[in-house]
Amino acid sequence: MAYNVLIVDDSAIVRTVVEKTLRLSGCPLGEILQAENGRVALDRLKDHWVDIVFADINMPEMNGIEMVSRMAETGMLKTVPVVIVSTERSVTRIEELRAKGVRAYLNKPFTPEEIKKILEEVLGTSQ
Amino acid sequence: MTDARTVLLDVVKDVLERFAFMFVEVEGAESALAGNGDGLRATIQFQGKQNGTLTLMAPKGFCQEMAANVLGIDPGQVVETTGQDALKELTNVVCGTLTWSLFGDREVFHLSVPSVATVPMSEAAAVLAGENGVALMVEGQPLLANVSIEKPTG
Repeated sequence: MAYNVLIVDDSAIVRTVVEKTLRLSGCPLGEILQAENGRVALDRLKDHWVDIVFADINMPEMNGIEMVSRMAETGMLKTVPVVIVSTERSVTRIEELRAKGVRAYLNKPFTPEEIKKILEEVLGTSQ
Repeated sequence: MTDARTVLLDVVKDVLERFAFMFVEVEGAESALAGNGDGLRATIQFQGKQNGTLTLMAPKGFCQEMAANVLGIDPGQVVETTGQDALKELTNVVCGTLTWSLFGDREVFHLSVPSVATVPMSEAAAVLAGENGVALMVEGQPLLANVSIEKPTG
């Protein structure tokens, strides 16, 4: 099964790095979509089904936390797992994010092995 | 050398290696700074147990080389905005790692969105002013970093 992925980050270079790292991970991938903030991500999710979202926290217009909250209020989107990709690595912050429904947390910078492990943990697969 | 300066130096070296696959050749390279040409200066604010500002500055050519390394492409294919994006992201990752390293893993810090501006490299001395400024040589080009930390209130 190939996974559709949405990458949400205001930095084009980070979106490219996440996509490249996903491809290097060896995980089966379908469509890879990108969005530059939470608002654009929610628009993308209206007409594209994705299996997992990788999102930054700090973004202009709508940050990653607000995006997760909006997804939790929206029918089928509440079942789509969100992985936060960020530099904010406080244990307290990560506990707060999990309480809001975030499924996993990936520290920048990261390796293909780390992103593969997250995919396997969140989607319940093993390559 | 202050504790914050030592930590900043270690964090910049570590993040450069893991984020951009670039290695610091010389630490304390203030005397080797070139005053010519344009550079990029990125800043980010952090708020939490203590507030502060992190600044990184480097020649535009360095930022484009870093972007090329991160993306795995030829430096000639990198447009200027991608170089700016790379320096902003380096600043973001250094700041997140720095607050964690300085203040521990229980403290929550809110980071601003990094901003970047084109400035003459002759402003290097201003970036290095204060007790935490560091100048490094990375693959033949200077990279400057400084963190100012406000005194805790109350």
